Amino acid sequence: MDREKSLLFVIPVYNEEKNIRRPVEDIRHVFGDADIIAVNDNSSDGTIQVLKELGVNYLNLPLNLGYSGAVQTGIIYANRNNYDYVIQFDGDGQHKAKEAVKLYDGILTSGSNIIIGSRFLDNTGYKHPFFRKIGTALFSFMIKVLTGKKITDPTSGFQIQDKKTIKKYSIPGEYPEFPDANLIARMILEGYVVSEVSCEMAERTDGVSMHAGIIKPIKYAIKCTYSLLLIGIFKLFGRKSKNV
Amino acid sequence: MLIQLRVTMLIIIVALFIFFIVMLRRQKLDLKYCLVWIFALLGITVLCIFPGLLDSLSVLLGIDVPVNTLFLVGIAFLACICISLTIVVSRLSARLRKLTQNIAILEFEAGKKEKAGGSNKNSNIIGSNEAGAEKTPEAIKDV
Repeated sequence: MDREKSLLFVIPVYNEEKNIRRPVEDIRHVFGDADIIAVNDNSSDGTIQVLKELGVNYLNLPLNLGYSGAVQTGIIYANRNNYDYVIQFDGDGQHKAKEAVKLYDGILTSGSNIIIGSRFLDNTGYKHPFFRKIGTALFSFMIKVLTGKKITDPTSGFQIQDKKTIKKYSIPGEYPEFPDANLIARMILEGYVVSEVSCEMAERTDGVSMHAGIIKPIKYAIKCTYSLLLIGIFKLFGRKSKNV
Repeated sequence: MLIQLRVTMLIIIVALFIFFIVMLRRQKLDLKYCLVWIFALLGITVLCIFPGLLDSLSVLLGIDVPVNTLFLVGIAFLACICISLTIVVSRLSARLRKLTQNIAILEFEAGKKEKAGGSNKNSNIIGSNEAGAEKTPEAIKDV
């Protein structure tokens, strides 16, 4: 692998004391001495102790900022330390390090700014809950309408970003609360090259997903649709969308 | 307007006025947010003393029943307050996010510095409008 280019794994963690060991060991097993930064989103369980035991570098947020705030903190850290690439890697064991190799190879060879690990590009056997399937299809369709580009898995948190994207995401207000379909659409419209690589993912084993419950996913879907609509409106009026 | 109603309203206005002044003195309310309410109170006071104003305003706006003018103005005023508050809240949460992220990163770097024995490069703080990396640690201490 190209040692000249530095790679950072950003792992947002919130109450993952039971799960966090696995992804960290997985990354170390596959990537050797890859740099990892965990972002502890003010967990209330023993996540910090586990991170200390693992000897992994971590940022400790004094307030709970949510998934996007935690990821952005890791990206800001990457920007400050001049990393070339950032891989977002969930702390719940959903993502696999051997799949991250595909993302890394992809960005080194393809010239994309962002590569998304997609569960749906090929049939990877990932079982998706019914409502999320509808949501994914809807967001995929909206991105297609807005940008003309087909993104099969717009809600995937498994992504690699290059330096240009890292710089952009580090700016306050440029990384929205729900960094999914809306963000992808915006980045494509602003001229960033976004592509996908087929990736296998595991289903959650322990802990609570950010999409658990009934109200949260609905709220999420509404907010995401709403921001996509806003992007559409901005596009119509030829203005650059911000904070969406 | 009946004299009883006018007196009652004036009493309420005076009570609210005293309330705002007390909140201001205790620094529970910022002057810039308080001013809006104080001006609103003054407006109501004027209407209370000269009820004829409401009638002429209704004629001017083409509203048949003067009390509807009152409702219209009142609702418009409250909507304005709501909008300005949502703007304030959005700005505050963006600032809070930035602050939280900065603290996490600075804390990490301070810890690393301690371990390395104080030999760490000076890097810039995120965002564009900070005065410089050197000033921020003291700012955090003050909090």
